[in-house]
Amino acid sequence: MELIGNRIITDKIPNELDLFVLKFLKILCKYTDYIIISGYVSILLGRSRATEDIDLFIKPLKKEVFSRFYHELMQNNFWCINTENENEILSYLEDRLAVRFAETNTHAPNFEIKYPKDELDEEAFDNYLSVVLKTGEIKISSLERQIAFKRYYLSSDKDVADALHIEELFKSKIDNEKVNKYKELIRLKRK
Amino acid sequence: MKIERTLFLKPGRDNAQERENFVKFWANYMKTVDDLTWSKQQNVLINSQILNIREFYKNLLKTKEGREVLERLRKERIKVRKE
Repeated sequence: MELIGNRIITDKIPNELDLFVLKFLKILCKYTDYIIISGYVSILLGRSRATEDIDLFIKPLKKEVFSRFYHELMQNNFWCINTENENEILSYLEDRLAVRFAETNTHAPNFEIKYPKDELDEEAFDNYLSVVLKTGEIKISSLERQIAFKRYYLSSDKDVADALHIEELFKSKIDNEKVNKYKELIRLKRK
Repeated sequence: MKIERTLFLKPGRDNAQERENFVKFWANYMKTVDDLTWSKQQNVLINSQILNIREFYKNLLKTKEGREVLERLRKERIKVRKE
């Protein structure tokens, strides 16, 4: 696994979770931009744990575009586990609430998608990395952002371990000043 | 056949230290082998979870009671979100 510029290139064998993510992203990408954040990022980068959800920010969608996205998801065996009413799903998103999509008749693993709620969330789109797998590319938030949110905002044992994994794996490539800047932004905007 | 090992896991004094040591050990192990080697091991863990979940839901769909559980779960999720 190698970090070159804003790309992480890996020969890892994609697992069932990676394939599930790529299937969802193939549809999502046709309609809007996205950034994957939180736990799945560490797992994609090799952390030895499982998860039941994949968190991502998506850029806001117009009603008719959302409708097409939603219908393509339905046609590809996904469902929204919050409601079947597409207007309701969109209103949740517009209220800055997360909605979850899973494979039809299952609840996990699922995609927790949400719109950015402020500048700090939106910033994730400006500083992202592309993880290049043999089977596709996945956009994730920057390593520094990932570490700062896991260590200083979410802070559970699992989250701190996720941060530690990234710190150990990319030790010499982590910009600690950037981590501290995120830490300060989190203190100002989230606490 | 002798297997060459250069990395060893340091035992922790408590659960937290044990977990931290393992996370560091695993990340450093990843750097000593190619991606195919570590990902095969990671995939055992992740694939088994996904396959177990899929099997669980497939079995639920086979019975009337199971389908009712699924429907209740779906409704409860909506309720949680609306509160």
